[in-house]
Amino acid sequence: MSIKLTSEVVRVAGESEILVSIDGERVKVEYDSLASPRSFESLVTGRKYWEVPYVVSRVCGVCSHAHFWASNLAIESALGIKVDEATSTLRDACNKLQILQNHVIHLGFLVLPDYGYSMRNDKYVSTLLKVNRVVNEALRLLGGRLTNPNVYVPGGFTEDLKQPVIKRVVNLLGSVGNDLRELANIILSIELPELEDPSPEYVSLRNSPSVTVPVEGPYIIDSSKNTYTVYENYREIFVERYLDLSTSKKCLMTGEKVFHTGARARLINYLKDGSGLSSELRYLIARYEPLFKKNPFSNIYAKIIESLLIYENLLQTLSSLDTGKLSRVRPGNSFSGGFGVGVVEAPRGLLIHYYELNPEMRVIKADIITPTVMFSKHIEVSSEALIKGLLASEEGRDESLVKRFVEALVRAYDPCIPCAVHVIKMKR
Amino acid sequence: MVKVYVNNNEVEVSQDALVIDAVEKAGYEVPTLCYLKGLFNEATCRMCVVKVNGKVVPSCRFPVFEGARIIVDDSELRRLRRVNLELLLATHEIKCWSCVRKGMCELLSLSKRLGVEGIPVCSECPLRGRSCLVLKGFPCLGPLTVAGCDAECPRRGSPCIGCRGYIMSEDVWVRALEEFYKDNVSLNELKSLISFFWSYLPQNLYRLVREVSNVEY
Amino acid sequence: MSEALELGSGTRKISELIVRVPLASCTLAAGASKVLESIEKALGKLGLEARVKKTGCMGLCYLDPWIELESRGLPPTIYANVKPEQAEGIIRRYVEGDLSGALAVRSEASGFKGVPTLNSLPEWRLQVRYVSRNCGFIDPESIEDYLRTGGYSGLKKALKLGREEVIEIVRKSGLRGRGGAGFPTWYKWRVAYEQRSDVKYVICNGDEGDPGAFMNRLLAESDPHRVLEGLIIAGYAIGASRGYIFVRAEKPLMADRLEVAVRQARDYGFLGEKILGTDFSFDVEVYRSAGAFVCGEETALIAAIEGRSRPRQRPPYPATSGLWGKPTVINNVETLAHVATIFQTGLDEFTKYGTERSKGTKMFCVTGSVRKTGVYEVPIGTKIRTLVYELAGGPPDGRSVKAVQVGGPSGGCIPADLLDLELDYETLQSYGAIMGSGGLVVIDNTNCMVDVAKYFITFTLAESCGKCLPCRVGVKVLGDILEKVASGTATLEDLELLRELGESIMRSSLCALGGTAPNPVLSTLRYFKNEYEEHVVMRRCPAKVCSRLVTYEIDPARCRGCGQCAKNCPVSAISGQPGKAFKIDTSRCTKCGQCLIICPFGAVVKG
Repeated sequence: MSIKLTSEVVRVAGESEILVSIDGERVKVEYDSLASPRSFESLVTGRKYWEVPYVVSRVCGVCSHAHFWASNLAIESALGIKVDEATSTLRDACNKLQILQNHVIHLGFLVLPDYGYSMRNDKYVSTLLKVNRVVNEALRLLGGRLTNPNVYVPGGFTEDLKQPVIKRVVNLLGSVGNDLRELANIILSIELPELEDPSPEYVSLRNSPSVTVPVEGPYIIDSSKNTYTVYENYREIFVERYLDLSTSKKCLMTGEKVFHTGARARLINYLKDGSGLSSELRYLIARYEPLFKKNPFSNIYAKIIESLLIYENLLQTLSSLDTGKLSRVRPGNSFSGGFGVGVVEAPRGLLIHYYELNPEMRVIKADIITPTVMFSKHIEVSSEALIKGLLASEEGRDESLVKRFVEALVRAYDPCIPCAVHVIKMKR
Repeated sequence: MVKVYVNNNEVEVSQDALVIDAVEKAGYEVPTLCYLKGLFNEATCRMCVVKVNGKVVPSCRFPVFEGARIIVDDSELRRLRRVNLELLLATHEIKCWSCVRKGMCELLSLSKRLGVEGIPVCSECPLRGRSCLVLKGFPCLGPLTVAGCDAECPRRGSPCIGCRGYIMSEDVWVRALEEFYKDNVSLNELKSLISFFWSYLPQNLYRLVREVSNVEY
Repeated sequence: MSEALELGSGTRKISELIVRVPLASCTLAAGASKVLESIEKALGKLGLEARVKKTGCMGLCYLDPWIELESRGLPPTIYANVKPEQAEGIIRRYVEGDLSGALAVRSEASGFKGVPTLNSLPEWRLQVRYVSRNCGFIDPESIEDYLRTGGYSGLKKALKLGREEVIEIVRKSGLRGRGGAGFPTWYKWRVAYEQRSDVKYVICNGDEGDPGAFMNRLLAESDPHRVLEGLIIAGYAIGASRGYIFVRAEKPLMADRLEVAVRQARDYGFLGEKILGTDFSFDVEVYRSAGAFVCGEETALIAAIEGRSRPRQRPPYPATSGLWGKPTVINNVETLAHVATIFQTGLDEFTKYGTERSKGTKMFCVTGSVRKTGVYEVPIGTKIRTLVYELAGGPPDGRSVKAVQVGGPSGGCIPADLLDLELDYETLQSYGAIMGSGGLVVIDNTNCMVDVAKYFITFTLAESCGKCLPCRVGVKVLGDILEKVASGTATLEDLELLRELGESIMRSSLCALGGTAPNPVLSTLRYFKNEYEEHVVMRRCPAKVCSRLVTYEIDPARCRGCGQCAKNCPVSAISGQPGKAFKIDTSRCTKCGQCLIICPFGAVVKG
């Protein structure tokens, strides 16, 4: 028997498609992006160093801060600029706010409907919108524009973020603590479908999502079993593959390991030496950790717990931050060319930017690896596992039910399709 | 006292009142530029035009009369105001980057309200003067970009990258390129930034940039 | 004209000769003063005793300079286009009874010795000489001449009536302003009359500024007393104490003659304290303005007398608050002449001409591409075709009428296929033109309509006072766009902009100058859109006028190789060898057109 199940996944950022072929015992899932190639890497080629972050932050409207920060990091490290701690903390805060915003939106509007929550249920929708609004406002205050940030350039912030602004952000965030917890209660009361993670390999930046300053290469990346020191060797660790008929690539770890990155991975790795958490969070993480390691669906739990964690962390760091020391470093005149790598934790996982500059400080080579590229293979293998499980049971007879489960799984990963940044190479 | 009708609302005003008084009393607003109550009402700017019994008249000069039917706003009046404002701006050197009226200019705020094209981001930028980004050597596209974003990027110290599109008026470009950019920023960098969002500049503007910079584009 | 015959009656001899020489600005420009000199010389040489009378002009400009000879036993005879050296021969032959070379005889009966009567000429027969009845016959500087033709009888009649009755008569006549807008004259008078004010003014608007319009000048130079009489009647009707005659300083003869008339009227008691024994006192001053087109607008005219010539927003209308804040009536020269004539002749003589809504006659200046340029007085409602073809003789051979610009720079172009329109205020307005002061410029097929519109816009642009925005900048922008069209760089969007902008300027300008300035553009755009589109899309000027769209070439078949063109080319774009056909280098040619003018063989052609 050979069944082909094709479904366009809605409620993800962008357009994507899963193609399921069932042939007897063998199940094959292909997860594909339908987005057209966007060629960002070649767009920035030839541009002056300071223009690059403006361009690449437009890769994605959802995590523009992550791209902005990663590109700034890469360029700074190429130019040999070291920014001060307050600057790094503020950039990290921007990124965290974006993670928070992304998680809230994703959980509320993309995931909850899968579990029977109607958008007409104003109780949680209004809570969601309130959190979203406050986080957006905080992001606007710190990071300039909501999408496509504009407040810092390689070397530091363009405007002096004054203490009252930070204080306002802290006050704003303080006003949504209860709403966030309320939301957490709703999310954590969801009953997740059973699924065994077929490839329990979790990759994240060390110490993420806690404070990650000073952020400069080389970057220490934890996986479940190993620890990698990543800089110019990032290509050896993250191996990308081109797929036929798709504009996106699939990424595997060294030794062709399928891995997961994102909220779930961050929490699992963070707990290895997690410290400085409130007892409430420590309890929550401890309680759900076994589930995180086992079930890919639990990514949504991880997201809300991470949101709480980030929220707590932001309040702590921002209220103790002294912005009086913000300095702006300008690149020196003598530059003989070089390259730089920037790695940050984007809302969906690891994000790697690489730029090579010529002596005129213009980009001659750019490379971006986005989180969706990294975990899309993981989506495929866990979907295969899910379908195999379903087929073994009674429910597997119902094609539409299979479709629904698979789609729910894909959405739980929160894939982001606009991340298709590479230039596609045609193979004939 | 005479009774007049402003947009069909009955208003009573004194015998020697002007149409603009009646309009204001009825709670409506007419844009004015040259009118200064009690000091100047020569009706030269023609911004305050309204219709009285179907006839287009300047409200700052026209006296009221019993039963006058005044229309403050309709598509034709708005078009007349817009055309007049465009004419006014046609002779106006839009050099907002060096203007002393820091965003307090009635001309531009009115232009934006009436949808007149050709007003640069500089008109909204609080950095004008000594802290202007171009004067610091950044190729900020503020002088060439259509206003309306409230100068969000220059406001926070990062140069305008022109995401709202370019001003079509060639004069604005000539002035900006020859009087402003030329002495302050590297034109090569400026060109690079122009290609950011404006890869397909119209031929005339494209030619201007090339002429000013004398470098192959 | 029988009156003219009797002018010198009394003691003269049988052989007494009267020579009339018209001395108005137009005939003087054509050389009338030299003709006058030569006539005086000839009379001395021939030993003839004659009276030389200096008259005004009768408005047939193509005859200038003409003279009229009159003698007992011979009909008064008109000779056209007289050259100074011909004067002696003409007089000698006339005295001998030989009328050869004469244009017409002024006789009620049939012609005389093969010379047709003036009335048999279409350009005279079709006219109704109502206000211009004296033009060309009487001496404008002589009040006696005017009195002899019934002058000031109208004033005497009016002074016997009450003021309201005078206004009532004007109302009954249906007289409308002859200055352009056609506003009922009586209404202005009535409003001014009803104002309670110790001082009131009347102003005669003689600031005739339209290119191609000169009927006011002609009237005031040839029959100034008639204008003055009308002004005094107007002053009486509203109870004014003072009148002004506003004349351009560029028309000195007109101002001089009016001043002479004012002096003479004062001497005869028609002006001054207690006129003709009534308790009406009135005096007139001739005001010479520096001459700006905008001063024809009544508020600007008032401001000019006050010392600053810019229009202001109406209301208040001058009739309620005009000169120095006092009620003021402003009437055109021709309107006032009509008033005087109405009171002289009675209502019926006036109201039997004209249409239902506009009574009487109107003087029209027909210029441009016609054979018989001149001023023609015809009843309102006469067809444009009659005026252009029958009176003015139509365009010269080989040309055809393309359009008629009615009303000067404020008016619009009426295309050739609408020539059967009747000339009255409402009809013209509905076709995008205005009556204006009554200038008709005939445009033939060698003219480019874009160029015509450009000409008028350039005129208005120069004459705009710059007070209000739409006129000051809008007209300039219109001019810029027309320039773009004429140079082939415009787009079809520009044409749309031209229309939209023109309509906006008309709607929102302060005074009538801006309110009518876009008329030439809008009317040409309306009737000759294809010509505009030809410029824009095909980059071609169909009439081969717009120099940027025209190329000059030398036809080798006709070129004799004289080299004149090459010598005169300012950019040395023409080269060749003597005796062989020359060539124009189109890449260097600036299209100045010098070669076309200079070539003696017509070998340079426009392409």
